[in-house]
Amino acid sequence: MNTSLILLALHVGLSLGLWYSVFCRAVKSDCTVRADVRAAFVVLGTAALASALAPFLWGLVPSWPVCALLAGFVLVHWVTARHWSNGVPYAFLRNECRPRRRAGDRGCDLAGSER
Amino acid sequence: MPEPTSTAAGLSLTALSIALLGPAAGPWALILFAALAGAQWPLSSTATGSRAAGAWLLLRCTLTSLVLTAALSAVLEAQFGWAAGELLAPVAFFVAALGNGWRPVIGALGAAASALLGRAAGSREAGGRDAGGQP
Repeated sequence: MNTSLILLALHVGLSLGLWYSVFCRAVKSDCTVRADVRAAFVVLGTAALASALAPFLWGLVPSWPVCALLAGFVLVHWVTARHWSNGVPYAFLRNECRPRRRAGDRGCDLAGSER
Repeated sequence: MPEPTSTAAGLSLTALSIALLGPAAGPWALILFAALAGAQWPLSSTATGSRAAGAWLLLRCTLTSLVLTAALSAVLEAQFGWAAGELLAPVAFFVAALGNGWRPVIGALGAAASALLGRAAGSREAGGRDAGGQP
């Protein structure tokens, strides 16, 4: 198979994978998530979509550095996906929407040391 | 290493996609891209229970944008003289980003229309009073 065709398939596949990961995070988000976090994911999703369509719309020729960058982004999203398994990470929630922690809830280490 | 800009291979792929999908494919693809990009905002701000519900919301916003963009761009061109072809992407993005927020927009349009009608009726009444009043 032609190298440029492999690069094209890789480029489009990685871009769509990145967009899908943003989509999955957006599904879990709602108005309790900080606006800057939501805006950042919208920008990333838009860029991923543009990257997927660029070879067909604007004549972009995929290159190895761009594919490596996309692969890195997809890897980061794949690795950090476990932080989203129980919903939006605590740090991404707006202050007024964060669930209150109990006074005695200090984490496993402290609880174990107190016993 | 190929440069990440327009080259012969890239242009041929673009030309091929246009040849396959027709000359209107470019604007439609641009509207679709902008609509999908804009629809991500309501998706990220609405509580959707599942991926299917999220995909449905995305599809709804995108289709709304696809239907309304051309007409809104034409209206903007007629009103302000802006080129409709250049307005496609921003209008599609805005319409899709509005998401489920059409009710306040329609309410505001209704309020504006009723205010206009009220003003017109008031001026007509005032005109009739002036015409039929004592000299």
